[in-house]
Amino acid sequence: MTQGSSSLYQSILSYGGKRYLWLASILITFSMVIFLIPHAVESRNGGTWQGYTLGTLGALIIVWLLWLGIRKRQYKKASGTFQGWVSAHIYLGIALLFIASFHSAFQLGLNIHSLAYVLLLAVVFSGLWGLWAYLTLPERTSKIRNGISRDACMANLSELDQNIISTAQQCKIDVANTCESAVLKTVIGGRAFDILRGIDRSKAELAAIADTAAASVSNEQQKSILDWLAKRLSTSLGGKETESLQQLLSLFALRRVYISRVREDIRLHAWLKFWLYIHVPMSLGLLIALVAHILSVFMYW
Amino acid sequence: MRWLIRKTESLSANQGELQDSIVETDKLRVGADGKADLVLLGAGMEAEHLVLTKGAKGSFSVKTNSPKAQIQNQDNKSVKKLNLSEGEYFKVGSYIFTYVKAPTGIDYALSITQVKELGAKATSLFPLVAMTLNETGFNMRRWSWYWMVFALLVGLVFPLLWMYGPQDTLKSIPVLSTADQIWSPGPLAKAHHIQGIADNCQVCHSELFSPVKDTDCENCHQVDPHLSVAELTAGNKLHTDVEAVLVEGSFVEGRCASCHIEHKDPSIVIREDEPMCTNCHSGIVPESKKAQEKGELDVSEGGITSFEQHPQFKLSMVEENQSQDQGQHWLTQRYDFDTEGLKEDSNLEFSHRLHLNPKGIDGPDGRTELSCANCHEPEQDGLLVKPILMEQHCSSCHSLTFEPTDLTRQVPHANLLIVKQSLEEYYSRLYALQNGPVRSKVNLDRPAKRPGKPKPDFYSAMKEWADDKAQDALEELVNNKACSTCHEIDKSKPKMQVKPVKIAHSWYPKSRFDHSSHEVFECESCHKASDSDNSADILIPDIKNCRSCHAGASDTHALLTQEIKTVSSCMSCHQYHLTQMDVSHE
Repeated sequence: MTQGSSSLYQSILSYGGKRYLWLASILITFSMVIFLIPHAVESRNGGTWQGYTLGTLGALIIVWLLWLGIRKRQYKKASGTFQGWVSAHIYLGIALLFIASFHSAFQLGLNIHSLAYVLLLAVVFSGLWGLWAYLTLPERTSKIRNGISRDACMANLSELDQNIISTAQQCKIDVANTCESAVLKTVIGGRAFDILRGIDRSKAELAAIADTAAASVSNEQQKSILDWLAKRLSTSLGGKETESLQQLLSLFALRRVYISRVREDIRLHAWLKFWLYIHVPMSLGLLIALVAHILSVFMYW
Repeated sequence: MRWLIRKTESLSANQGELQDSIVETDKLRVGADGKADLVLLGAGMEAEHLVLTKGAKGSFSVKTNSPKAQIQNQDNKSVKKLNLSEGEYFKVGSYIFTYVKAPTGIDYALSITQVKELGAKATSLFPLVAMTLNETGFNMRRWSWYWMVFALLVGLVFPLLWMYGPQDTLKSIPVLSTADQIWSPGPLAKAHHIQGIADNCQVCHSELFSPVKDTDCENCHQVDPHLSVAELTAGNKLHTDVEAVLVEGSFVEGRCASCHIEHKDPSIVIREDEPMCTNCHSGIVPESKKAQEKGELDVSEGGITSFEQHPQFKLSMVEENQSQDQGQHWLTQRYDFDTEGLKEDSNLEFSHRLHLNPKGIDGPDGRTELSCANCHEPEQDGLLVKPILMEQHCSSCHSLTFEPTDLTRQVPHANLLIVKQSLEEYYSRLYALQNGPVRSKVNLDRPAKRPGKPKPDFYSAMKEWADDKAQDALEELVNNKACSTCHEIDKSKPKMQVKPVKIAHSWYPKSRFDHSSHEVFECESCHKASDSDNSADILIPDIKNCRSCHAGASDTHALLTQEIKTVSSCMSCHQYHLTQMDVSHE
């Protein structure tokens, strides 16, 4: 019944009968033709009339693409649909990669001109990464959530945890303490690296059983607590405690499912947003570098 | 029916996330139960809360599916059922359902937003840590500022500070010293890698927002021999129309920098491209009548576009001339290289073959093997060779002794009048010291002196004797001994005459030939000197010789024959700024 959501994002690419794909194709072809016009004297560079033409076109496109940041915040008065703007943003951004490269004629150096070009490359490629993320990650997120939102999942987890604590408290003190530590020392998220890699830094304080001494250990994937409960169960003499321990085992097994679901959810969400932290700041750096690039060329004509 | 469900999930007070899903059903069941088509949890949401079905005229109907279930309409009134048209909404618990415009292929689109109480947080037993990049300290706004400030400092502030600030103080700060170098779009030409130029942009870029001026170049470069553009344009001297030689479409306006373009890689400060010449001169028809008659070059269809079409060279030969106003003088005449029977008339008697005998030639130190370099030395610039000088190159073998009994004395290599004077002086002194005619070897250090005054006829006798001896020695020198070895003797005139030698210093004065860049080759590979017995032979190579190694940039012949040739443009030999002669110099 529930289908993947990628088709909705696909519609950004095919917006308006792929009109922006056509526009981008025309611009790329145009810039290539300009680039390939034989240069009699100079090797190809940004300072020829071909270079000035492509440079002007590229600068205008950069300013327009940056305008998306402003358009995004104009909910009512802006013209055109936001979907159309995003579609054009993607295709013109890809066209810009060609226009700017032909403008530079692939000449690089340690200067403001190349800085602007490198920033542009970073912005366009991070944008393409973002496009890939939006085409693939929401679908994976939907699959993981399976119709249950993250908030709902966290609420369920909270309910489960209360259940675990009350069940554990019916057991002996070692079980109660160990289970409580496993719940309280759970970590979901943390540092950016942990979020992006989906690293589980949960811990548990395991009480001593038979020949195994008490220890504070990693509780990654709830593995330590499940192992401990299983071992503790084997030493149990039956009756109410055995029943509670069995219940705790199944509760922690369910907990493990919930936690990994949330962790994967926040991981995918982080990747869905990560490119933006490159794309947006560097695009603003590019705007300033572009101004410096144009001004410097004419100041030292 | 296809339903598009767009859920907006709020992550924080001002951040939300969209989640889309498509559901295909005629009856869309909404509730907290896991089996519902759309599962929504939260206070006020029953297990089977709502059923959404198709309504009239594009609307859909909403009905509760449980006795406890409530719906709030737009007026915040609780109802059990309602009809929703596009743009309208209703509420269930904390959720707002809005009927939005459906995209193509979708029958109904529903936007569901959950309203949260501000400051409400998800409860959990364990401490919650950052779950989004934003919460970990990733801050888009801050990073944007970093990048903008970085680009602003490096790209504008530092260079401008360097330009207008106290440079002496700034030089000591590494980041700021020569900060405007970051504006340089490419490397300077090697010739401009000079301290004071390479590290100071404003030496050439003297005025902001203004192209480099001719005066900026002239601060270092002499206008002469580089004719200024103004002179070229106005003077009608050489390349009269500078605008025309500039490549069409370039941003050029007849400044030095229009042609001498800096900061390009590869460097094009000195243009050597064929279009530099052929843009105008493509129509040069060699030997055209018009060119010959008017002394100017004909521009018509066809003609020279590359080295391939270049006509045979013209030799500039120095010839003796006699005119009433100038008397005897030398004149440069140009001859087509292929002119039949062309001989050099330099008045020189010389055999290269004899001097280049591989077995050697008799010299003052015995048999000596000579090479070209013994006589032909390169000029300091490595282009042409220095002129041959008798004293420097010939005299060690060809001495100008005249008195068999005294081989220490030589006459000067000068005209016959001076030679004769020096001979008379020599013999007069000899007579005076010996008090009479001398017949054998004389020791001049021990003169035979007699006491008393000389006889009255002593001086006239001395003159007579010395003149006779001098005349004899001169005739011997001219005709048999020294002069005639190298010089032609004009016997047609009653008075003895040795013809002066004049060899062309540059055979192709309009071209620029660099001997130093051809050093890897044997001289003989171009100049067939060891076969020449006669100085009248032309030992200068012609265009065919050059073509064995050189081809024009647009010359396809070399490619077709798979020969590897050096690509040479007009500028490889010709020069643009010629002050000494017209391009059509005859």
